[in-house]
Amino acid sequence: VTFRSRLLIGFLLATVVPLGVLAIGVRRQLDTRLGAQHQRRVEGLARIVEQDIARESASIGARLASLARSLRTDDRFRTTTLGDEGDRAYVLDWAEQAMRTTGLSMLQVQDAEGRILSSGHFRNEFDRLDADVVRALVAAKGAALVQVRAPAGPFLALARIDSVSFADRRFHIVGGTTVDSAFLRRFAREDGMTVSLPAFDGTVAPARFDITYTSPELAALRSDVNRWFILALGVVIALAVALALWLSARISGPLATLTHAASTIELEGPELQIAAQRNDEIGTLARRMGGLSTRLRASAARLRQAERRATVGDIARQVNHDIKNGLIPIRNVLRHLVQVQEQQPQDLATVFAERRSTLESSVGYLDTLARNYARLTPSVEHRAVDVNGIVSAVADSASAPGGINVRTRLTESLPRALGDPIVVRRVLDNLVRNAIESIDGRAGDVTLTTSRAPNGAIRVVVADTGRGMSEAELAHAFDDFYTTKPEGTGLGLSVVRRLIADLNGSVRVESEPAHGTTFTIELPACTPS
Amino acid sequence: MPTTSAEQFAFGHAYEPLIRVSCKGEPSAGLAKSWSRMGGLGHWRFILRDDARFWNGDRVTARDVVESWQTTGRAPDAVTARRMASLATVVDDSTLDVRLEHMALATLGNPQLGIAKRAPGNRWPLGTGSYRLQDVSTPQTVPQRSTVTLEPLVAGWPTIAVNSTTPSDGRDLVDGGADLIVTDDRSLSAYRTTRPGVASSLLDAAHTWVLVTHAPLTSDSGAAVDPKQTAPLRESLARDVVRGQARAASSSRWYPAERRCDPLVPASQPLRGSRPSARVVYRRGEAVAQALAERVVALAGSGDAQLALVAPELARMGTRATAAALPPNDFDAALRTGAELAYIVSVPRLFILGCDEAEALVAVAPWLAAGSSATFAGVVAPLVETRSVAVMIPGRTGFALTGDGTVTVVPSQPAPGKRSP
Repeated sequence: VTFRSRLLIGFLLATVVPLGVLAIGVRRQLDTRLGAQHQRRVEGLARIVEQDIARESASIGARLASLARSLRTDDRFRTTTLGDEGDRAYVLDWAEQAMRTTGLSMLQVQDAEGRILSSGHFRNEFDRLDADVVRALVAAKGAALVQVRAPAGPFLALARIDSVSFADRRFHIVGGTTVDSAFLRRFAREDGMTVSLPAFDGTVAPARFDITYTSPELAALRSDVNRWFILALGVVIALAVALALWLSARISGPLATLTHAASTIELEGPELQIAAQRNDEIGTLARRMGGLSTRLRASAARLRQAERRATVGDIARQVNHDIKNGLIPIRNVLRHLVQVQEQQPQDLATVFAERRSTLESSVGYLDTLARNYARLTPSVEHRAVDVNGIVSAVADSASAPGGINVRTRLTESLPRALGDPIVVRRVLDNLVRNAIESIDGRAGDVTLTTSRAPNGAIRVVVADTGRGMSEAELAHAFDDFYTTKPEGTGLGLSVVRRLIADLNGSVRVESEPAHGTTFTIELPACTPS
Repeated sequence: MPTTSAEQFAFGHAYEPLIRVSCKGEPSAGLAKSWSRMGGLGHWRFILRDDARFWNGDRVTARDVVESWQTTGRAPDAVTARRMASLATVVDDSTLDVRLEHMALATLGNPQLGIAKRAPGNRWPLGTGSYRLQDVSTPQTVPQRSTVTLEPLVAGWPTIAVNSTTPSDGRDLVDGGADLIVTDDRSLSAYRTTRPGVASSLLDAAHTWVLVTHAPLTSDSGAAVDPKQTAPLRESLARDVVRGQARAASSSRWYPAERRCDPLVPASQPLRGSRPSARVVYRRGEAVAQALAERVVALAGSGDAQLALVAPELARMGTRATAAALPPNDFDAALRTGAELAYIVSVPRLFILGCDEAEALVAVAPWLAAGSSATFAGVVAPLVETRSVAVMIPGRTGFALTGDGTVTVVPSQPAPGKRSP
């Protein structure tokens, strides 16, 4: 997880969680307090509906009682139901007529067995047995919901029952009003209030109603609270994200620059410039890294100086030793010749001839030694150098055995480097020769590549596919007189390093056994003054 | 075509059938002055009246009669009319041969077969009666009043205003001095007894009300039902259900076992398929049909055994069956497609003669002919026959009964050159 992501998550947690907790708390309080108030309101409305339904029930009861009184004195009804078939039509039509006059929407007259004698809402259902309704209504002792059959289909009614007796026969009058949406709407006296029926299964059920009351103000308040919290949450999240991004950019940006700069610090390369204009911890860190880099570079320079001095001492001792080695045979020959001259002068010419080769060999050795040492102290110039041209010339003049390809990959329009063309030529000659020799006569490639380093320096890479170097060899690659070749002097790479250092450049080597070696040289670019 | 009883009454005076049939079933002259049986089965020859004229004075020819049968009428009478046209042969202008085959001569007395001729510029087709249709105001909704005015073509005859009213208006009409009231309201007969000088007379049964329903798919739908078994049902319907003058229908089922007829071929593709409803439907405004529909629904709900014999498919519906009124056009469409469970249909009684009625019913309900033989795919059960009461003030207006139970006004002054019906 990147620093930026951590920062973002942290900001989100720090802002969203408290806000969410606040929102939940406010909603809970709102629900609790307003819900209780709402419940009291619903209970009040339910009592009103209960009273309304009781009034409706009483009204139905009064109308049925009136019809019962009327029926008790109705001679035509009495005589017909007691056996006179002559006026049957009157009985059949009686309930319909009575229903009209009383305003009821269902009315039946049944005998004691539950046989329908007259039906107002379904005139032609006479003679049907429907005793269950009577029994249920008697048991209800008041109004009940009744599923009523009608020609066009059943309907629901709030019904009651009354009775009338004559001639020892009992008749039931069942009547009521339709319970439909209009009926239910009558009881819903306020906006948001709904009166509905519970699930009705069967023929008769207690007169119970469901009351639903949704307070528009409460719903609007809840909706507003939700909306504002969502809005606040959105704003907070947006701000948190923006702030996190800004902070992370402010912090992680310079850190990334520092990291990159630190990764490119080279003690022997050009000095890096780390922007440290900031006045905060990042700026301090940048400045301290810059100081550290400077001190490191100074230490490295002193180290190199000490190394040079130590090397000079080593060379002096070596020169002393080498000269001694060269002089000892000469001294011995001279002593021998002196001895012959003193003791056998006649043989001097013969002995001289015999020992001449030793003298010449020793002189030759010393001469060679002198040339080698002469190469340790070249004088360098600092002027514009066409690196591409030198690389091409080195590649062309390289004497590579068959099977070894010396190739170049040159960057076009490469700026000129600041240095000494002869020194550069010597360095590259040395490296190419080493590369060819590392291939050991096998087939392989030596590639010279020029490019511009990220820090602006001119970079030359000499890579080979030779045997490579072990870690131990790599550690001493630039040491004076360290060589792995039987006839090597051990001064080649040492000289290369010094020459490059004299040119204010850098050289580094990467190698792996059996995978070849790569030398990377970076020279300062020649900037027009 | 007439759509109300008032219009039917009025049209009976404007458009004459070939013959008229009395309430006793005896034929008398109509547009034809005489008729005689020819050699073949049901082969009759009719001679038109010499003075038979349309309202515009054009003479009525035998070809006019055939063309009228070809173009006029509404189902189911139109089926009979087309059938007559196909059986008729024009001998000369005044002579027409008709091969009635097994049909009775009285078939030609159906007022719906009255002769008419379309004439450009005239709102109504030209008739041959003594009265010309002057105006008809048709109610848009029941029970609005419908008025038909008949203008006499004979000098001295009175103009007749025919009003179709709701039953509750009957007393007002008696008290308002109507010359003749034809009503189904039984109570009006009782009321007239309280009014001096007002007489009433029962008319012959005019309509048979039948229950048309789908036959059971698996049971023995072709089995005949003993009329005696279901007589109490029909009697109860006539006595307790129909508020007008009614009597039980004489048979229990006409169909599905009318095997003596030719195979029934529907005029259109039978549409019988899934049974979509549990409704018993009737034409809106037909009080008798409404009462019968509601009663059979009630009986279905109570599992009545006699209804199960007459219409087992309806009885099987039990309490799911409902009754519903349909506007006339919707009712006709439903009857045509068999979309409903059952129908209460009114059929003119006189002209129910068996196979012809089967064809007529198939014309309006093709699904009935979905069976493979001369049987219906449904049940056609006659329930009751209704008849009207004529309430009149004697001496003011004469009237005559026709075979279909309707009343014809007979002005005191006979039409010159015309026979009085």
